[in-house]
Amino acid sequence: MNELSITMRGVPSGYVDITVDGAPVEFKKNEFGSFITSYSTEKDEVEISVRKYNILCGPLWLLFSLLFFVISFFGIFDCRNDKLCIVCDVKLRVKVSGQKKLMLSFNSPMPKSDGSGFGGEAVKLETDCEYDTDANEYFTDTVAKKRFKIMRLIKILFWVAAVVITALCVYMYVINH
Amino acid sequence: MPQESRKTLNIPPLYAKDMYISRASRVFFHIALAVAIVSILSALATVLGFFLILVAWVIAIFLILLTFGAIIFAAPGFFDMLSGSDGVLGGMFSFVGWLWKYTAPVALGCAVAALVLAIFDKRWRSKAIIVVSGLIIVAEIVVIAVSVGAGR
Repeated sequence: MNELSITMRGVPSGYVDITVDGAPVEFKKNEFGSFITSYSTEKDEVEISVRKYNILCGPLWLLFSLLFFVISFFGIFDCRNDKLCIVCDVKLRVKVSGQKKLMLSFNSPMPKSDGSGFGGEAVKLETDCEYDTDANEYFTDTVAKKRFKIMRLIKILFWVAAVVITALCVYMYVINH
Repeated sequence: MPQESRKTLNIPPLYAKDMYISRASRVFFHIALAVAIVSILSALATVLGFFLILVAWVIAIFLILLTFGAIIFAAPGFFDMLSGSDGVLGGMFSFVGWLWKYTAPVALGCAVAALVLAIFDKRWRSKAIIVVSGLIIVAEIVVIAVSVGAGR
């Protein structure tokens, strides 16, 4: 039985999905704020995936965004969307034999030199085993950014409509009384 | 994969479902928390207000007993000012009482929704939401019970 001890430092906030061999794993937080877990497997290779998604890239995004906007009293009680729309994609294949350690230290996304959003290496690896990196990057989700702008426009229109309707109601009430 | 070719990171439908459940849980939790604060504060204000009136009555009666001559003239006006429906405090209490009556069920409903959704949220479950929602549910049941008991 092979055992891989995984430690993650500086995991970005938001909807981060961490899977090992395609299945979600439970991490424990230690006293330094790092997430640790121990994964046992019969296989010689373990696939680790860390992905940070943007909710605006989901199916039926417009319907759900409008639903949350209305339910949360015009966005007052809604969760804030990441306006920079930075997502992270990390995919590693680690060769494991016996007891091994793997530490993933997350970097901060860096603005690109040409000003077209953010990028850079997502994690720095420290391990005593061999590994292949399929993906390891931050990038600005252009589709999410476009949808964020659409939603912002829709929210402004909703607010303007709400103010106009309220003003009309108050005006009608004053006229009738 | 070259960085320039990346455009988007599509969410698989299964993750999206979990994400929407998680988001809904958080939205209902925010509403429950905000409405519960209003509800509990208005309930406390009402209860403490009645308590203050009681204290004021005791002090007034004590003062009136000390000054026998003032019983006839001072007492009725003083009582009316404090407890009468048209008095200074009457309007305030009726508004706070109204607030208490209508916000408590809303906070309870939202807290229950947040709790149920948080239980179904397997991927990004927050223990804080579960604990605080549970506390809100208990507090609101107490507030509603007191409200019903007080005949509001």
